[in-house]
Amino acid sequence: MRSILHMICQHATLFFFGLMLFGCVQFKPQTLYDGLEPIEKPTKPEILSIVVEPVIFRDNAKDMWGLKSDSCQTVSLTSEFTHSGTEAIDLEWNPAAGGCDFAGIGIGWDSYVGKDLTSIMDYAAIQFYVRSKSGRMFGLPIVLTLEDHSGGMGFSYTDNKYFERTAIDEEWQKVVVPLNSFEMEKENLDPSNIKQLQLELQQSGKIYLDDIELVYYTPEPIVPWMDEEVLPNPLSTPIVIFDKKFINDNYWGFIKDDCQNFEMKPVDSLNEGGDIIHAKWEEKEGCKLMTFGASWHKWKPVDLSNVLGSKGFSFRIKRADGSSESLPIKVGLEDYDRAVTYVMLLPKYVAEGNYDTNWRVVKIPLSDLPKGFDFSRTKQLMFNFEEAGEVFIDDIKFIDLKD
Amino acid sequence: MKKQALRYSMVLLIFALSTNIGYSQDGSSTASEKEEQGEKIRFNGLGRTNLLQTGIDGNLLEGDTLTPRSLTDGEFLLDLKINATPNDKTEVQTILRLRNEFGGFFGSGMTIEVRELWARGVIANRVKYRVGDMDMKLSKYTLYNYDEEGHVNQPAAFMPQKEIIYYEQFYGTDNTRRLQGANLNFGLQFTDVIRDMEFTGFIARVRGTDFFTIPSRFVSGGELQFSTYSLNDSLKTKADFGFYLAHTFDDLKSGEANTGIRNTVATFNWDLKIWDLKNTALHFMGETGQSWLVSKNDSVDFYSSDDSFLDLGASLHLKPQKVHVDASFLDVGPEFFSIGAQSKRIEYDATKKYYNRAGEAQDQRSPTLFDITRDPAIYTFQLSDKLMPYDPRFSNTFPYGRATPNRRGITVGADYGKNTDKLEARLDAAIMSEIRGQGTTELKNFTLLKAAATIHIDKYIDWEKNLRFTLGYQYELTDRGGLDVEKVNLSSNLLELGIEAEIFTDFEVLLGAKLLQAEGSDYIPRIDNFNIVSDFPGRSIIDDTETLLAGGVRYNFKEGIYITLQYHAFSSDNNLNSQQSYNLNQIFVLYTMNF
Repeated sequence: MRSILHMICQHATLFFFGLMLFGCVQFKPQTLYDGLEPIEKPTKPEILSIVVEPVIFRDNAKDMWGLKSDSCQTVSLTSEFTHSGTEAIDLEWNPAAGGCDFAGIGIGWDSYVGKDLTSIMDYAAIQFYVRSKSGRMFGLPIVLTLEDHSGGMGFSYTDNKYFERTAIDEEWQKVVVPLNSFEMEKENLDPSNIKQLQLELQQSGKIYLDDIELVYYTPEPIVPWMDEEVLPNPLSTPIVIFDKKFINDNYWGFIKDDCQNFEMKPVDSLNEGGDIIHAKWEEKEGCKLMTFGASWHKWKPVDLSNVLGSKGFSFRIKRADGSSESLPIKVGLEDYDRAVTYVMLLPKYVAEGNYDTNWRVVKIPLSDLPKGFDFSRTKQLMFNFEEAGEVFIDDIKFIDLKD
Repeated sequence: MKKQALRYSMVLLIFALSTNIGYSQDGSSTASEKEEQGEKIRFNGLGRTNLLQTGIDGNLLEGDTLTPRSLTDGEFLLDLKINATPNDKTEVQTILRLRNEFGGFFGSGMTIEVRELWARGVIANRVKYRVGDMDMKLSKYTLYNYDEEGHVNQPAAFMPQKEIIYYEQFYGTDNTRRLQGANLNFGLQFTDVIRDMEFTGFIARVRGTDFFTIPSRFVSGGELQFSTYSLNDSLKTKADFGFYLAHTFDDLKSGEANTGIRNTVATFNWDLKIWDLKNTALHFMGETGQSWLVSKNDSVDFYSSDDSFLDLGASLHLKPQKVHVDASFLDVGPEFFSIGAQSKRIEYDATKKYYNRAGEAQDQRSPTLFDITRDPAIYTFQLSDKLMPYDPRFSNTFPYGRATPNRRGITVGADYGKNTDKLEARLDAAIMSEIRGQGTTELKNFTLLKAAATIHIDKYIDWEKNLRFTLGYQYELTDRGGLDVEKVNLSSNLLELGIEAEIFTDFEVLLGAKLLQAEGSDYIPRIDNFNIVSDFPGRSIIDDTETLLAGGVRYNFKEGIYITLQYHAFSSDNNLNSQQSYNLNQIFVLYTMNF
């Protein structure tokens, strides 16, 4: 035992240090206090300029670096195209062409003093005006980077959703990037000691940039793009799943090919009025799935787990010809993990004990369906056909077994 | 000198009370307190006033002229907790205790002591440390402070005095042990298969040296726990596993002492979550390991033993039904010894605070339900280097918890509901036997059944105030076959009933009853050093009934602050010798304030 323990310890140590050496492991951050600390949300300051100098760039290159012209970027100030004031930033870049690792500029506004943005992270945004030099740009490949005085960084991509219009064109437009969109954890940005704003220029582009500043920001309320339909209780039996047509027309699988012919047809020819399901099939090599299915809850999950003992399905069925004790048809359910549970149509499901050319009422209790299926997330009722046969099916219902 | 210390303390107290006082803490500041702007030093603590009168009478007292029939006692106590966070990486805390016994005045009976002192912090946001007092727990076989016996589902009427015991003995809510030393904790994150690893290591001194024969004693150890990523997303399969180590050793270089022990327990544990679906969750869990006990005289080992254990179990959670079911196979070797896990809370041979001896012969009373419920003097948080005595009437199957040596068998359990449900219930059963006979080749068999239920009547009748009924029951049977001299047959029943009724807002009536009935006989071994059975001091024939009734009222000023007035009546009936029967009673007022 002692030697076994010794061996385990040795191997565990080797394993542990092996992981360390291969770099797939890192220390977990620790804090003095365990658990979640309820951090009070700072109140919105009444005047932004009391908290921080809001103007990052307006008319001059003070506290700015990256104004240069090389193979990667050409950045200068221009007075020819401005949004307001006397100067704007003229940017052209294509770092891939120059083979450089980085293209961009930095602005250490307010003379690089440490700026505390903590109290405005949820209330402010970096706003700037931009236009293309020519043509339209359907994106702005710039990563805004806030850097603190300890070298920590936070990033936010100038996504299209921050644009005033869908694309950058030759008209000035406003871009507003909220401060709370900055990813701060990855590079440990300390928002209480911000040194500068960097604009990392990716891909390529030719733009003018002006009036970069911090502004108050209130996100637009999120309006749901569609109203959630209130559906009836999917357990409130009886529910007619098929009678002349499928409920809500939520069905699939009615196809016609060499193996199967599933159709809903008027049965005037059978002198019974309305549509019924006609299924004719023959299993052959290369056949597609001989199955049809239907949802009675508009394809939303139905939780049947609490009604397994009391509810089931019923339908009427008759053979086109002949008679047999069972049918090569499986009836069952599919859940949202694509698991299925079926029972074969056996004699016990019809009162008469056999299936023939007369309409027979089939009742299948949910409790007969094999387990190993997530009844809490039921997707649909399915009929699966095997071998060969021809039947008519009608009046498919989800029922209470006591009825 | 004492008066000067008192004067300083009072100044400190006044300063504390004039400061903005927060809520109580449990060992350290709560997270929310950290956020209090501008507050680096906080004062919290506990105040307690306990006045009680205890009486004794009954046949045992006939002819006894020494034992006072009534004792009045009490204390006024203030534990002032001073907590400081010089920065967000460091925290220090001390608890100063000011205590005055009932009747003491002008400094007489007054004590001032440091009850707790520690510092902790985080190094480079990666490694946590703590020095000073600390509460530690490893596994149930390495370092664990098992609950004491004598209760299953404690009626609320008995809780105020129990809470005093738990507080005085540093019994945490999580079966931790109070130690004094240092610990270190860090975690690692992995990218594949294993999600993270947590390491905790500690060392503590549990006994000082007398510089002659008793060496300093240390306990050290730690745990290394791994947790995997989900191994099967649809089933939420996951594995947790790790190692525990507890090592207790005497420092033979301290003083002149040259004899000491080494006790090491190393274990491997696992918890495999096979699935965790919406309706069910299945776990396979267990622990196995080995203990070594060596006694050294300088560098010579003059005694050694080792043994192993295996605890193999499974649990099933039926979520819609709110039911947990678990079952385990348990095999703990006869020589398995773990100081950290087998040290008991109750010292059965300790001197009781009240009526330690009674009767004409002034024999020492055995601890009873009455003593277990209220006497802090029979409790300890110290570690024992040999198996401590136990009373088979209270617990014979697992006197040392699951770490009880010389046991093999199965345990099953089930529980239902949470404290927010109308009904909470727990059922446990164990069928165990010895692995090695004691004094014979015949083995004792143990049957244990425990049931606990808490019925929240207020939720049934939709009453907005608190109305609870608690029930606890324990049945235990010990038997052994063989010759007449080998035969053992001891059964015991413990029944607990309790009612809490909030008749007015925050004003509760508390009623409680405990009944212990034990009958039969057993041999209770006398354990010597190295857990060697030194003697069987004759067959113990038991036919006892103990009844403890309690009634009183409690007013809750707010959470953690209450006053209660109660009367408890206890009778110990010895059916073999009625002259040994006696009664105890107490009336007490207890005011507790956590601030």
